[in-house]
Amino acid sequence: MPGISSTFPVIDGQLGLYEAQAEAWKADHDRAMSCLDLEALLGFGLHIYRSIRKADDAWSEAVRRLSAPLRLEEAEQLSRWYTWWIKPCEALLSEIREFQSEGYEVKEAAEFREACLHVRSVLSIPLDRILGAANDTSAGKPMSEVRDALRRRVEASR
Amino acid sequence: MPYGVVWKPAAEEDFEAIAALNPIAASQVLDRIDRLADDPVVLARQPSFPHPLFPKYQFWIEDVDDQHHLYVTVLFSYVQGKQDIAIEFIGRQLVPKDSPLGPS
Repeated sequence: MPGISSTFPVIDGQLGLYEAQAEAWKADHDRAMSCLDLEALLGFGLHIYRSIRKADDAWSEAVRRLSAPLRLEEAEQLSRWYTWWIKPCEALLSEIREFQSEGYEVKEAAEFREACLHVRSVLSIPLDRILGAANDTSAGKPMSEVRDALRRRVEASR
Repeated sequence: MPYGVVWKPAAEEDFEAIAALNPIAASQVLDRIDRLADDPVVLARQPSFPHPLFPKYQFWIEDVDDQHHLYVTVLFSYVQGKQDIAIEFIGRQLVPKDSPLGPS
């Protein structure tokens, strides 16, 4: 299987454009851009998000089916894309909230929020920890021991 | 048929961090993992980034402190030859209560 960067070559360019447009949005904010402009930017962001998800799904399925090895480079590429994508999100979420508080209905706002939550969640566990797990062959601790340890912690804190 | 649950060391570390933050929230995480073990195939999402072999189970713990909700991502695997799931990692995001990303 070719690397995901070569299978999805346009994502880097689109992310650069998306970031630039989001930056331009911030700069132009005082000129009261319209809700339609915001919707266009969200639509573009979601289009890129879906492309990254498509690359992610293709990679994941190839590894599951053993038609591609689990390689750090592929996972790092996806991590870079997701990290890049999430950068403008905080500012855009604020803009969505501002428009909605003024009574505007912002198209695809719910999908955009869901995408932001998903990307943050998948980036919430460091990649180097996760991919090292393949070497862990320990049997693991039973649930009862974990529950007992928590019970002891709660009792000690009383 | 429910699955048994075992915990990998990394998941235990992650769980300890949640327990240190809020033991009640940690207890809720255990309850949710019990629920997952009842029917992991139905409740979990297909594996994808960050690990293409570990399905994900995601849920909210609301009001984890005065200012935040907690969004939890459990990564697990199926133990070969057993009716067990192994909890591999637990990701967590503290989301401010006034954030638009909070639970609806």
